[in-house]
Amino acid sequence: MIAKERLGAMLSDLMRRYRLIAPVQHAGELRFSEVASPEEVVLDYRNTAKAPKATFFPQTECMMRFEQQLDRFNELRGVPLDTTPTLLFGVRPCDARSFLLLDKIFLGQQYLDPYYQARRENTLVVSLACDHPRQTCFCHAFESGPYDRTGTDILLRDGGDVYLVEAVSERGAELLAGLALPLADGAHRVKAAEIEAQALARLGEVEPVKGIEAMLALLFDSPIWAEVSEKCLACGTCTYVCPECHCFNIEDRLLAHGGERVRGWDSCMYPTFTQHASGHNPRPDQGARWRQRTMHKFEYLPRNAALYGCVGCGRCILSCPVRLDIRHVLRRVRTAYAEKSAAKVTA
Amino acid sequence: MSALPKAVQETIAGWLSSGAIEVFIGYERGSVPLRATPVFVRRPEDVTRLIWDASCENNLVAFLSKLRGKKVGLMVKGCDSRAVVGLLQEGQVIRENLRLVGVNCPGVVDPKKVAAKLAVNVDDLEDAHLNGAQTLLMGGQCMAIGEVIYDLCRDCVHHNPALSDLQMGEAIADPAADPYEHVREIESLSTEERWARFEREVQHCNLCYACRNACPLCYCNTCFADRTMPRWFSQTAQPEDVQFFQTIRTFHLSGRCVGCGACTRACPQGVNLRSLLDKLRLDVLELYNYEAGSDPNARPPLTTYREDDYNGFVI
Repeated sequence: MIAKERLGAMLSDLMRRYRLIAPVQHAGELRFSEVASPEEVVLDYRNTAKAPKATFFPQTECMMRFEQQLDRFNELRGVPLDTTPTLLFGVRPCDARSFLLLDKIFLGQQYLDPYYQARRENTLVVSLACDHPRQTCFCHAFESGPYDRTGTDILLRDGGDVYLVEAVSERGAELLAGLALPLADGAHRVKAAEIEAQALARLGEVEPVKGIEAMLALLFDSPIWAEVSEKCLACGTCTYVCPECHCFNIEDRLLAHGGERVRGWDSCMYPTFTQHASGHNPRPDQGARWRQRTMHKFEYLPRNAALYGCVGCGRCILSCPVRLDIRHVLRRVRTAYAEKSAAKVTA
Repeated sequence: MSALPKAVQETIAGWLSSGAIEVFIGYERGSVPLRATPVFVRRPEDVTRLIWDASCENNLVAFLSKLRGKKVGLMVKGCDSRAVVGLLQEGQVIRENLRLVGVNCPGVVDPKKVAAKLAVNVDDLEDAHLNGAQTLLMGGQCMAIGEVIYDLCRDCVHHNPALSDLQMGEAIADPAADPYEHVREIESLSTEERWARFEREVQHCNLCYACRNACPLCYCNTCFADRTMPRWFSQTAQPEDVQFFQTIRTFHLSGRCVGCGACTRACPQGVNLRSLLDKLRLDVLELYNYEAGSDPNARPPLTTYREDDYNGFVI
């Protein structure tokens, strides 16, 4: 364990070896950012406005540059990969868990993403158990919870005036061994358990997500999609704040004598997301796009990657300008499935 | 309680049953404190879901362009009704196809102001709730709604809807104030200072287009931002892309923006879009003596030609 008042000193020490990315207050918003000094770090918080996925998958990323040559082919230049040893500090368990899916997408396929890989391999994740889930949190719908250790290297738990520090992965254990922290005593363990119990008690009722993929498989042609998406403004804010959303676009930006190839975040909520060069759009309305969003997260990904595309952090609900609640969408899926099943039985 | 008065519920239910409208767009309680959520009511019995209070911030007129040709009812605040006037001026809606419940609105709550007062982040306002028409409560603390309404609402001079078929609430006296006060000082800035100011204002924009999508007057079938041939700017939100989008969108609203503030409230990054739009509205007022959203029969200045039009910009 480590006394909270000594955390700053420990972080200062670690900052000699690692770039530190942690929650910082920035103009009324809490976000993950590189810190210059441990005093900036905020740990007494619920969750950040945006997910920490930008640590491995930045919103805008230059993939390569090309320079115009007058007498031969344009010259392609790679960009240096970011291999700075990094400590991603203070993420919530839902966010730590989210990295598993991103790893499957960017590292687990036929083509390895070197940009993501460089950052991911050189980053150690230290998560902070969540002592105050919000009304919009539903991590427990995924057989997870505010103290989940999935996806992290080290887990911190609030123990009153200390944090209990627990190695979860081998890399975490290595780092911890080097810190020579005192073992947690009985009193603090009891306190930590109390705080954990209080956190769990705050979680509201939610239907488990398991099994929803089977329901969705039968609802492709259901009229519910037009219904649930009616108030959606297609702004894409949900996609930007989501820890799991990972779709991107690649564009060439032409500059004076050459240019650069840039990857940037995209959103399936945008009308042009699936617009073909011919002008045809296979997802012509917001209903089709919401069906895609829901199915991608709750049917396709479970079937293809054995992981849901949602961790229940609730950021989309809080940031949506019309407060569209994905839990309500899932509820509608369930009632539509029940109606459809009932109809089959009586037919 | 925020439920609509019985008489209003019955009128809306009547419109639905008689086929005068096929859908009524209003507000209902949502999952997030201090923020109502839009609701599309199609069955008369569902009118009991409708609410009206200081959490009803969305401009529902933005949904009209998705329902072209349909008979639609909706709730409009003072600002929202001016957007309806704008759409009528541009021939985008037919008055006979609309049923408007006009609400005399004293202002809607800005959760960021509430959060600032309570020294918490805006996403952590869990226990906050409205307590009648005057106050809101959070964790034992009480504050007057009037102190935490949006700046736009605080400066509003059109509290009562210009158009409606049914009025709700007490008429509110409009203050004799200057709604452009917050942008007048831009006049005194040099070109370089104005550019620096503009750069600063839009630097946090990430091109999510919530502003455009929430705007009732942004209804083009294909927005310039979505065109790929030609591709006017990159999607990757570099400063030049953001500046391009914000400039063009603002100018496309010249003489059309009614100052409802839906763009500013929808922005997830807190960009002060109102300052850009209101400066342009002030310019249009001064150059063409015109304010959008007042008279359905007026023609917007950029669609008309007069011999005495201002042409001081012609070189």
